[in-house]
Amino acid sequence: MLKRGGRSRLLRYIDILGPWVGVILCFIVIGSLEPRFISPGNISAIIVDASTYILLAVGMTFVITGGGIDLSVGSILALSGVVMTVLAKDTAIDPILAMVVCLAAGTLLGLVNGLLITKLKMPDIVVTLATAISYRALVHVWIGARVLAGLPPALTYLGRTRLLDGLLPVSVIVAVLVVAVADLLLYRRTRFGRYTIAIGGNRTAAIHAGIPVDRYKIYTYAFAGFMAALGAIILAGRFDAWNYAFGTGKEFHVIAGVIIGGTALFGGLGRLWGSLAGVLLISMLVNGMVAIGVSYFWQPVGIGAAIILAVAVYTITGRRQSRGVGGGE
Amino acid sequence: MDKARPIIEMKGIVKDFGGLRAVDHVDLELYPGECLALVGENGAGKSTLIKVLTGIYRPDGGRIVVDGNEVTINSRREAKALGIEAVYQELALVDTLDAASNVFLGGELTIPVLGRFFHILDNRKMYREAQSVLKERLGIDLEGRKDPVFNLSGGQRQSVAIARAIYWKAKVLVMDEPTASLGVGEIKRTFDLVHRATAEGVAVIWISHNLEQVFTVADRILVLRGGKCVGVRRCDETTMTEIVGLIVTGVAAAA
Repeated sequence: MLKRGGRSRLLRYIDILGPWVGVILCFIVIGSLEPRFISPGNISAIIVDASTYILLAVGMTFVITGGGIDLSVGSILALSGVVMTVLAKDTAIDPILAMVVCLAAGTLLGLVNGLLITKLKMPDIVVTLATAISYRALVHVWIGARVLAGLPPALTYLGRTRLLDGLLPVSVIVAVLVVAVADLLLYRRTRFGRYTIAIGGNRTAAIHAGIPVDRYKIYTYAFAGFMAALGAIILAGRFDAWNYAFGTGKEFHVIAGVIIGGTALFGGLGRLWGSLAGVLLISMLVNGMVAIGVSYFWQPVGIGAAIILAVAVYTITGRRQSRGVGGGE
Repeated sequence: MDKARPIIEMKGIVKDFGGLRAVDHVDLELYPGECLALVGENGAGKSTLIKVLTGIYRPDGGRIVVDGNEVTINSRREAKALGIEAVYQELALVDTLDAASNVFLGGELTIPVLGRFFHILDNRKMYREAQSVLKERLGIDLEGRKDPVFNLSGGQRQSVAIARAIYWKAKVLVMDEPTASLGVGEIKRTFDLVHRATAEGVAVIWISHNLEQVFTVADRILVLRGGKCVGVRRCDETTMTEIVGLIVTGVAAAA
């Protein structure tokens, strides 16, 4: 349902501020039910937890804006994290180099996704489902049940360090900086961002405008892989360890956060700050439900409800969720 | 404006679909700065003929001459390179981008950063240039709006699509039922756009069922019936009755 003509200002503001309102509501509602939820220590734990997934959400926002979907980001995080921590622990290489290899590995794994999707012309969801399973299997093959603990300090710096007497975690600074650069620079002022929007918004128009659509699609997946690897670095720092389970199932936290944040699921419109808010909201919900004593098994229901509510709000504000006019000859 | 030589000549164009001959040895001449209307009933071959010109179909017979040179047009991109642009609102525009981004899509203006390796988009310049084309050459004032084009009216969207074609120096604009979803005021604005484009020497092919509009906007009319060209008339030398006669019976009715 495409609404031509201007939507009212109010509806547009609701559209953009929606996820932030959700964050504030969550803060107030759960905070009043259980004051420990809003203690500085708990809030700090929430935003540190969210920071890893915010990074993944930045990559996911570009993928979804370009009309794709990536179910493998959790597995890419896992596999690039394994590469990095095994190198750091079992070999004598410089930890910084291990981090570089991690980022390269994540980018490569994402590149594989992009190539399979464009060259084999297979649906994004099918390919990334397959790679999600395959990359995860490689993790098991590589380290089995082993826990790699005690990582070099240079490696754990980003995830572990808190400045200003413990109040300002570096991981949160990294997440916010990445979102800022991704929005202000990549999304708005590079061909990468512009063409990703065009390809997701009206692929036919993009092709007719001479945009190399396959190439830019591949870039979005490589970028998502890079972000997943960056997330792995943060995660390794937080726990000063790695095991085979890290990142499992996290793609849903990330995708849900991106949708709640206002990025259109079928492409053409990305909301990077919204993705940050959406991921944060879900981290708050998960933490909050534990705080007020909701059973672990009900937590996904809470998250599902949040997604449905968010999409309902967007539908009311006139935002189309279905595939837009893409032409066709 | 050199009206002597046509910008487009389609000679003896044939297009078959299986056993059906959709276009049957049609000749079409298009001169710079004119608006040629293509009329006929549904199935008469108008869309097919145009798709041959814009590179979507390859003709099974006949030749196409663009600006004096014989060409083969194998894709929409090749047609564009020759200056032939089809203006369809839905096809040309990315709804979530603003007007300037749409005008420059695929050919963005950039600012080099750090030597020549990294380029960022020059959004401000693109906005100014797009405004200039829209306002000065097409007479459309978007009042400084930078919102996504899906917020614009049908007529405004169409002017963005035309602005895009004009900016990239199209020689021929093909408009298929351009007033179909427009209100009265916007229809008039579309006529103005066409006049401005032709005043600049751009040739316009206007496909429509609405003969009243055709007589208002076009210089000449080409009538197709059953895939054949049954008549070409100058608007000021014919009447609607004659054209209707040609459309329906293929024979010029008494004027």
